[in-house]
Amino acid sequence: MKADVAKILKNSKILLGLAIAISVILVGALVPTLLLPRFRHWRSLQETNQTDTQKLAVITANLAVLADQDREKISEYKTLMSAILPVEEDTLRVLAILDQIIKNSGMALDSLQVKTAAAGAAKTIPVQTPASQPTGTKALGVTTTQPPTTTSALSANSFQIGATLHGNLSSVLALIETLDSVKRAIGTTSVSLSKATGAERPTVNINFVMPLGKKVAAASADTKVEMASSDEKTLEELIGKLIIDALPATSPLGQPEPFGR
Amino acid sequence: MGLLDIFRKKTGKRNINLLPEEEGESVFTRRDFIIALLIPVGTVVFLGVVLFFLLLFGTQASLKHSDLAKKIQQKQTEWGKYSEVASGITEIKTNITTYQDVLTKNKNVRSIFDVIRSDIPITLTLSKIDLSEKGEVLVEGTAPKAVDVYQYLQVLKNKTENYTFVVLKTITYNGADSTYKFGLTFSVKPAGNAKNK
Repeated sequence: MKADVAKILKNSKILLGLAIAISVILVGALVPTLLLPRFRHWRSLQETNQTDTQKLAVITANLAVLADQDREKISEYKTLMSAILPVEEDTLRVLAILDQIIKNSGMALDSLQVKTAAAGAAKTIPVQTPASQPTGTKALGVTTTQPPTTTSALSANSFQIGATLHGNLSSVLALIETLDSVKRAIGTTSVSLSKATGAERPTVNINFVMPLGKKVAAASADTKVEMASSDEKTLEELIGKLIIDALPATSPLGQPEPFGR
Repeated sequence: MGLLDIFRKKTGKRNINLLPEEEGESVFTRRDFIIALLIPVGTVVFLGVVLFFLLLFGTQASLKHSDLAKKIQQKQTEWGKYSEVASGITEIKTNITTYQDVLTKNKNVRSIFDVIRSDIPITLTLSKIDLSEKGEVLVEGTAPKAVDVYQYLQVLKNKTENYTFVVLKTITYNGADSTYKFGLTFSVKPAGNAKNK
């Protein structure tokens, strides 16, 4: 046995092979158990640090930007945007606005139909709406007619109003143009004009969509917050441009005979 | 003497070592053994050096991590004073985008109708125009002659920059008033999206 070992030790090739084999075993045993976990830990820390450095840079930049912001202006813009896109449905306000601008466009209003996402079904509104002017109450000459076809699926944060009117194409286009001056986002989704033989004016069915605003509860510190000058310019333009709105009527209260005389 | 030369010692070269043969062999064996021993030892040393640097880098990264976490914590505390303004700005920006989409939608509707009415031949009288949300249009009307409807259809088909999927749905002749009743469907692009002619 001793002689065999001595013989092996004397053979340089076997000795070298043995040494290499021991080295491979050492590498195989130590690298995955000792080195790799530490390497991974280091890499993971490096990545975290990189993310944290970026996060810190964004927060620092945000703080610098926010410190310079005019809080009153921001509050003013926020009020404006919540009037344009309220968080809750403002059906009566929109009806009052539409009543006002439809009549101003020279068209005759036949019916208005409100469709909310929550309700799912359309309902015709044969109601009195608050006047657009705070001096008195106006009644809508609303009759129930065939409602305009609603083709679009409502999203949860919007509601639709279908209007049936009598007017011509130019009046319709003027009405849609007027929407750009309304202090409430009202979009036109579909328009249909049809004129029966012998009718004086075409019947117009328009579907309006009113998106609702999104309320941001808390802004994340590590998301870039910046009021770009283009945004400020847009908002300043809107303050001057959006002149049409509706307020509740301010009629005197108290009716001794509420069912009319 | 290089490492390879060690292996060449038995390749027929003459051993001019003056030591006795047995002693000479013993010197070679010891040298081989030391070299063989150096390989695993060298490996262990190398692995040890790598481990040392990994520990060093790990500690550095860990210290930096603690420092950054502390700084972020400080900034987060400072953020509390501005969070309301920040949420206000975020809200305003989100809602501006929504509002601008609405304005674009209205502008497109106006633009589509401008495109449609600019291409209707004067001989036609329309009884219906339907514009759907997807920009699909149905036009119905009457014409004194078939060629008038033909002209309109050709205009729509030729203006591919404005109109697509132009289909003549119906065409009937009404003897009572000597007119052709027609129905056409097509998709139309807003003027801004169409190429200038």
